[in-house]
Amino acid sequence: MNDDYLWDRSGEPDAEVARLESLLERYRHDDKRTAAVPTAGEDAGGPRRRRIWPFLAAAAALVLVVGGALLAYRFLWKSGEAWPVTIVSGTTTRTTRLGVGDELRTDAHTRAIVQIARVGEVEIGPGSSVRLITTTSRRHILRLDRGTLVARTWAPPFTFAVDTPSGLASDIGCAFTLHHADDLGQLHVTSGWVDFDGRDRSSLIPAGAVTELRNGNPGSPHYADAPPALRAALHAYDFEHGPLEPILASVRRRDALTLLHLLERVAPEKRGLVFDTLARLAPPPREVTRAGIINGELEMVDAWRHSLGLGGYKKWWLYWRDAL
Amino acid sequence: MTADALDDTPLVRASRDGDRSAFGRLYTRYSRMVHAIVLARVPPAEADDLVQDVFLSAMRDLHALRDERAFGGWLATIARNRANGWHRSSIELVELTETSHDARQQEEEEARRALAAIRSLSAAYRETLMMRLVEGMTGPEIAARTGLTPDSVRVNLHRGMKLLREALEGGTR
Repeated sequence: MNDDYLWDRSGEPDAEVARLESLLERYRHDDKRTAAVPTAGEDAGGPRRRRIWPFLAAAAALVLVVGGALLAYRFLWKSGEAWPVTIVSGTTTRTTRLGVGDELRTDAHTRAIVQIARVGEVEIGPGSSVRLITTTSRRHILRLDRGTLVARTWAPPFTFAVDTPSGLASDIGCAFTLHHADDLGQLHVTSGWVDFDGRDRSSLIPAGAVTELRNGNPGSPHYADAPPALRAALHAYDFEHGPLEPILASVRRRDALTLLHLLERVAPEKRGLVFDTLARLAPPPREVTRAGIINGELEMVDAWRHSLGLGGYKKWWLYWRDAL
Repeated sequence: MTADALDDTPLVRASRDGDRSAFGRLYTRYSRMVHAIVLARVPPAEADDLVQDVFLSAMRDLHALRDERAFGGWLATIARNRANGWHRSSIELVELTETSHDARQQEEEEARRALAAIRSLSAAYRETLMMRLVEGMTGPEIAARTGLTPDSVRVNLHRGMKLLREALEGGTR
């Protein structure tokens, strides 16, 4: 099955999904049946308001057209077209291009600035190796085999991703630093959010948080200023089958983010323990219950995450500074 | 609910103050989600009317919504309750199909079977699949409207498709 097509209709249409869409569209909601619901046309407005309405509408239309054209140009990219690259070695620079399948290696004294089509930029650090996997208007994937890269994009979620030996880091309108060597790595998000899909588990990491990468999986996200005791306990739990209790003993209120991730990962019999600790740090909203959390109801975890005010990963456009 | 829903706060506040165009925009934003939730529970012929009921109910009870940011989840709950209530007060007519070799009728029959197969799944999967396959919403759009995380939507879509395929294959054996 073509996962991209099922997710957002990008890529090659999946035959089975497309067939079901075609069959089932006859049941689609008919927007014309809106008589019972108030619409913009029914909004009462005085005569003066009606006179200025055409001008406001024309101005809004102009802004939309110009803004839309600029956005369309930003996101449009011919499939497979090579990315511009600037190689920086000491004080000298040279330009080249990175095509699909091409490998770019930097030595200990060289770095490279790579344009991610028109949606952002990635700086490849010294001693790194990357390959361009795919590039289309809707999806750009770079592979980091080893080394360090700093990415900064401004695009709809999941437009840009970096494949690593530990999994896939998908940008959600953000900036992040990714380091990988052998099967060890670290992801540090500096703006927006990153979704990291490992072999067995996924993490959604907000700005300010880091996660270890090891054995094909991400560890539990935690803030970069987490106490050493917490970082050590997380490392032991995530990668060495260590106990949960040292984590619970060393979390601060700010580490609610980490406990939320753990709620989805700990064994069911341990969820109550995590719930109690998290509830002391950040009381759950009304709709979240201990029984529901123990029962594994992910919507409750989402509600709790929402109540923490971690920022909006769906409002990717708010991180417009990453486009500059 | 979710890590962050679409920012409906200004529209919800304006609707509470009697701005009907604001409520119209909420309708435009959420009608497909509501239709999918309703269609997951009632026959297609009833779904459109029930969608109207859900929005009228929401308009009437909007003052009871305490957190404007949770509008999507709140509306989804109303839709589920109304659709479940429809079942309690109605006897669902079984749609009989005539045996025919006409291609169009065969396709209609296939569509009915696909719809029934989706409706046989658990709520999380059938609602997400209705939004994706019937309403044509994308995964990110479903997450934005329902307030679920993209991860949850992705899981629902993949597991739901797997179960749907099994249900359809089981039905053809």
